[in-house]
Amino acid sequence: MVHVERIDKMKSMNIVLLGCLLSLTGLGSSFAEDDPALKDLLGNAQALLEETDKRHNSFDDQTIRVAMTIEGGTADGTTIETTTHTKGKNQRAVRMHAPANLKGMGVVVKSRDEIYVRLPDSRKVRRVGSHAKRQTFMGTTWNFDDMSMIWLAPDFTAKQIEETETHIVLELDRKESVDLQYKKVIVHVDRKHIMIDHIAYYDDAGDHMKTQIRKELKTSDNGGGTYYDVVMKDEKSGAVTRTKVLREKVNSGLKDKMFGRRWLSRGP
Amino acid sequence: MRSSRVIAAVLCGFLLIPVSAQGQSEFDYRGYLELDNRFSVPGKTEPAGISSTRFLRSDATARVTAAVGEDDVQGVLDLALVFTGFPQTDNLNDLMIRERVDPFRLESDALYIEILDMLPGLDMRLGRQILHWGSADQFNPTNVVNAYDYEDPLKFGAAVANEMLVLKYTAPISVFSDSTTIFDDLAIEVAAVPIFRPGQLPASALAAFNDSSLFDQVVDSPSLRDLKGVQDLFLNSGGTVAYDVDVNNPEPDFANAQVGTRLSWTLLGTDMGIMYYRGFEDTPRAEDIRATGLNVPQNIDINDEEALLPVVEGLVATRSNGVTDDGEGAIPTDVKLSYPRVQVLGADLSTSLDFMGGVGLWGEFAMTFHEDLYRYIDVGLGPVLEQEAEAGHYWKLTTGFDYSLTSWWYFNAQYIRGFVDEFGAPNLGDYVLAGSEFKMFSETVALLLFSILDLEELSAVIYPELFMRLWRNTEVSVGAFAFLGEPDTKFGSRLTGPNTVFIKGRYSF
Repeated sequence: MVHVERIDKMKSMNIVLLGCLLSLTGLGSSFAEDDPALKDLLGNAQALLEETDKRHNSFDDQTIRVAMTIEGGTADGTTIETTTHTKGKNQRAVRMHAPANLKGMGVVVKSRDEIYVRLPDSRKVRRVGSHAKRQTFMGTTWNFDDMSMIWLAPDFTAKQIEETETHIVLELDRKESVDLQYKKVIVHVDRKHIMIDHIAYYDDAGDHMKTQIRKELKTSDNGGGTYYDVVMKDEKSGAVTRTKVLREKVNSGLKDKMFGRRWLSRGP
Repeated sequence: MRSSRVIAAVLCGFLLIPVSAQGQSEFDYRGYLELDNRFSVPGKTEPAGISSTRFLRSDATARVTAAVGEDDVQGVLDLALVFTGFPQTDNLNDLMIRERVDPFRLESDALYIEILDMLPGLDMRLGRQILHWGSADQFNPTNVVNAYDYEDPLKFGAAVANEMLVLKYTAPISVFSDSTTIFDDLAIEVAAVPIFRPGQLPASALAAFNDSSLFDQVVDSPSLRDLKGVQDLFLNSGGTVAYDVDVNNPEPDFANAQVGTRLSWTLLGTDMGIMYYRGFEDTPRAEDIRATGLNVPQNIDINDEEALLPVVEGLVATRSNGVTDDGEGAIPTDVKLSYPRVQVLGADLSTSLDFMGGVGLWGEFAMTFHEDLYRYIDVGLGPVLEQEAEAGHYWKLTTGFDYSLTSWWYFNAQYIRGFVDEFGAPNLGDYVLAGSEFKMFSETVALLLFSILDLEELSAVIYPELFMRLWRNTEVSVGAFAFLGEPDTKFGSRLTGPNTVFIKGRYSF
């Protein structure tokens, strides 16, 4: 007589991973040369990293709808579609639209360790342990840590390791008290926009785990920008997940009550 | 059944309104088509004449859940049409009635309107709904406002929706630090349920009344044990008993309205709540048992089988011949079931233990208070008004944790004191539930393996299920529900149903 929402629960673990969904934004620009601000940042890697953080998160609030498509493997062609509302550094609320069996599921992330999930079949809202960070997300190459690494400067110490005509390359070392699975991250900062368009992730053993490549930078309503095409490749398995931004809205005045259990209980 | 069709048509009309007439409204929906086939397999004792390999269920379900609304207002409708597969044709007339030839039923878990911030911080939900309280995983002793739905053992923890008014006020008090919530989500919720709705029992519950070999497991008083002894002798001598079981539902009186309230908050990253409920236990108990025709002379000691046997054999003979005023054939036994009035006081908490890798932890406790419970028994042994239980209380507890050991391996374990169908201090058992889910092949395949162990009687349930999500929006699963234990134990008993193998398919949209 045991049940059964267990699968729902596992799905909920998955959606938790979207709680800190991709913040792919930053200042848009059509400059052909370096961004003028870059000159003052060169030579100070940490300051440069902080500037990329600001440009990737240049909004008070953001609503973004994305489609993540798995390319290759047994789940080839599977698309996960979500809408993520973000406000401030910590508040996030996510709704699932596809696949159909996840419709009605939602997640609210109040902090990295305070996560609530709405299970669609029972319409029950449950607290979820942050162990869910260990789970992969619906067979994609993303996990919670990938998605929660939105503000990098608070978690990593940066040093410049290379400078090319188009990019500044920074090596980021995880700070001691930070609970992330990547010990080292190498980011490529686009000189034109002071935004990161390439990330390589390394584990504690120094193995190259994943690579993220961002393309199609578009200007947002507030003059900031969003990468509309993001590919995450698992370097071990070769699996790839492509994320396309379907639409985005910033600074629309999202209310605080969207980021709580009250909001989660809504919907079919 | 005809009225069911009308209701379905009206509700479908409701679904279409927002699309055609209220283009400005937000409309969202989800649903599925599901086929659910189950078979019994040997391994558990069955009554004589019942095959141990038989079809148990052949449900075809279409379910739609829709929400329509604007800003802070929404209406939600959930509707399921279930074709149950097994014809109910007992006579020629039945063969002319479609609903008997091809039975179906309607289910609805929601039909309500909701207004957020009708006053600042005050939300209202009015209508048919399921209110979830508690933080444990499915075994929620504080989740008492809605009755349990025991109809499907694979949907354990499911509830029957009921019409109610729920008001929830959330105070605008929040204190955060950089990394955690110090205090937040202080809320008080009040639910008022005018009409009591009982829990739905599984088909196997009937065996508690019509299968005398199971009586040992359900009788809980000396008088009933005496009755059981006489009845066994009567049945073994060739007699038969016909049970007529009626249910006394609480009258729809103001005094019988159910109310519940829950105060909840988050403190230092831990969610906490306390609750109170006044209403009725959702599983019935036998309150009145009367048998006609089983007249044992007062000078016979009913515990003296040698003295009793001639009386019983004589009774069997006279009823077989129909020579007495008592009639002939089976002895009619009338049983009236009722729902004890209860009050429940409970508390729960849940948190994430970050210093232990984010282990999810929860605990839920409920103290149930009940009045004196009496049972009237008149079965020809002299009428008895026995006290089934003195006014008192008992407590249930669920506590557990879950953890993701790897990206593909999830583990969950709980200790449970008092199963959901257990009532009264002497009847509570201790159980451990544990299990895992293993995700494979980019989560297109998943294996679920759970078990519940009764710590006292050492009986158990094993529940494996393999899910395949290899096709777009489609999920196929095969699994089993196997019971281990002696026939007189919690899970080994026929009361919990047969060992079951199932295959299910679901297309979601």
